[in-house]
Amino acid sequence: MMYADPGSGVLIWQILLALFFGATFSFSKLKTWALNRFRPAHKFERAEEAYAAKSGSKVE
Amino acid sequence: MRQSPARKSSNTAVTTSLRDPNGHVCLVADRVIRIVKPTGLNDLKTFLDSPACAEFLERQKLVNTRFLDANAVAKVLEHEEVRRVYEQTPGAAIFEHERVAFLSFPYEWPAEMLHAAAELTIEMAQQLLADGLGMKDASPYNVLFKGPNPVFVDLLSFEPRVAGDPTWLPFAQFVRTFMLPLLVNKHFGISLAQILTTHRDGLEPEEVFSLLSPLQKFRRAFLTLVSIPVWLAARQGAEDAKIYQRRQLNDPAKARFILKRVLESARRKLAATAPRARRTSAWSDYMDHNNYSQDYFPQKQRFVSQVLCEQQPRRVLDVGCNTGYFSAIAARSGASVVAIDYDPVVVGQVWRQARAEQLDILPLVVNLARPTPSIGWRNAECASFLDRARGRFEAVLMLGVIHHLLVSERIPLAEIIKLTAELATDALVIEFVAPDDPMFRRIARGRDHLFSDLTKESFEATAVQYFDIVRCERLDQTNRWLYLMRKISNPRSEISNPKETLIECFEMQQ
Repeated sequence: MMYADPGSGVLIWQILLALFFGATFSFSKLKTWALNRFRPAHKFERAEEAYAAKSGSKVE
Repeated sequence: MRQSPARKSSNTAVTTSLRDPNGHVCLVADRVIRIVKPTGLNDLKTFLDSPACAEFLERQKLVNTRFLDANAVAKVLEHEEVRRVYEQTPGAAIFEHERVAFLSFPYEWPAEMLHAAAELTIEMAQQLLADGLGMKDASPYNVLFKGPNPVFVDLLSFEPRVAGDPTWLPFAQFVRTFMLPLLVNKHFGISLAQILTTHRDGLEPEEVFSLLSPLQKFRRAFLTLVSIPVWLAARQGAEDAKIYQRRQLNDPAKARFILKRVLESARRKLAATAPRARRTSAWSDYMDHNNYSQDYFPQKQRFVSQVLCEQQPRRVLDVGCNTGYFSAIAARSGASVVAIDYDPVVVGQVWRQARAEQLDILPLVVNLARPTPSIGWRNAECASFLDRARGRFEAVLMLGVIHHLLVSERIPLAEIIKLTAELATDALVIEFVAPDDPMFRRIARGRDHLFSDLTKESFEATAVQYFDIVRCERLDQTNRWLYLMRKISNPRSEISNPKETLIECFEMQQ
C-alpha cells in the first residue's frame, strides 16, 4: 500500500532510470551468455577437467 | 507517524498520528503506545521478525519496540483516551515503543541533522531490500534524534515488497522532503525552518525550478532532481494516471537489481546535498573573536563545571548555545542536553561535534524569543517547543543571552525570568550583562536610555520572585555577573531587598 504522493516528474524520471538500469542488467546477462556460448576452447577445457575429475586421472 | 501530542485528556494521555491509516500513537504518562489496526499488523510483525530489524535495533538505528501482552494491555487501557481509541479499532494490537527523551521536528533541525535523517532512511531502504521488504513512505517525520543520533520511529512504514516491482514509490517524497530542502538551503541559503514549517511535504521540483537561473537549470546539482522532472511532468497529461500503476517484471532478480541501482543513485545525489562543513555566520567565530579577557571563558567554565558537579542535573537546557562550548561541558558531566540557538550554522557545528564525540546533546534551531509554535492539523499535531520543554529540565543555562532578549527582542526582564522558571525544575545558571557592557551598548545602538533602570539590583529583585540566588560571581574585567539560582516552589511578590535571599556573592578582584 502506497502512502506517499508519488509525484509525476520524479516518478517518470525514476521509470526512465529503471529502464536504463534494466537495460544494463539485460546487457550484462547477455554478455555472460555470449561469453559462455562462443568461447569453445574454454568449453572444451572445462569438459576435459570435468571428465578428469570424474575418472580420477590427471589432465596434462 | 511520530509521537506528537494532538489532544490532551484529563489524565494526560494524548493521541496523535491521525494521518496513519494503520494505527495511532498515544503518549500515556511518559510511555509511547502504538495501537495497530489489523490492516497494519501483519506487515509490522513481518518487519519485526526480519533480520534487517534485528540489525537496526543492534545498531540503535530503530526505536525499541515490544508487543504488549493481555496484562500489560489491561493496564494501559485504564487510561480513558487509550481505551476510547482502542475500542474504536476492533482487532487492534498494542505495542510499546521506547520513549525518545526529547521530541524534535524537522523544521527545528540544522541542515546536518536533516541530512543525517535522510542517510538513515535511504540506508534502511537499501538494507530492507535483502529481506524482501520496502518502505511505504520516506519522510523526515519518521525520524527522531537521541542526542545527535537519528533513530527511525515509524514502524508502520514497512511492508513486504512485490518481488517484481522495480520502483521505489516513496522516492518522490524522499526528494521533496529531504533532498530539495537541503539543496535550496545549500545553494540559496533559505533556512529549513522557513521551508519545512509551512511545507509539511517539502518542496515540489516546480517550486525549486522557479528559483533557478537559466544556467543553473543545467547544473549537475539541479538537473536530475529538479529540471528533468519538471520538463517530464510538463509533457505528462494531468488526467493520465497510467504512470501511477504498479509495475511488475517477470524477473525478480532484475527488479531487485534495478531498485538497488536506483537507491545507490539516490544516495550519491544525497551526498551532494550535504551542507558544507566550514560555513560561517555572524556568530560562528564568537568564541575565537571577542573582546573578553583571557580569563573570561575559563572563569565561566569553572563556574558552570562546579555547578554541574554539585547539582548533577540529568537534563539540561542550554539557551543560546552558540558553538556548544558549555553544552559539551554539561554533556561530559553526564547530563542529557538540549542546546538551542537561533543560528543554524552554529547549531550545525554543535551537532557535528556531538556526533563525532558521541556527546548526549540534541542541538536545535530555536529562537527563544520566537520559539517554534504548535503546527499541523488544528494547530495540535506538532507541539510547540515550549509545550515540550516546560518542566523538563533540572538545569537551564542562559549564558550571554538575556541582553539579546532584552535589547534586540525587547522582551521585558520579568517575562524572561518567568519563562526560565517554567522551563527549569531546579537550577538556573544565568549571566547578567549590565547596560554599560561593550556588547550591550553595541547591540543597543544608541538606545541606552531605554535600559537606564536595568541594574544588577533590579535584575536580582526580579529574579528572586521565582528563584533563590545561591551564588553570584563577577566575571573578570567585565560588567557581567554569573548567577546560580534555585527555583522556589511558590513565586514571591516583588522583593525590595533581594540580598535577603542571596546566599553568596563573589566580586572578582579587578
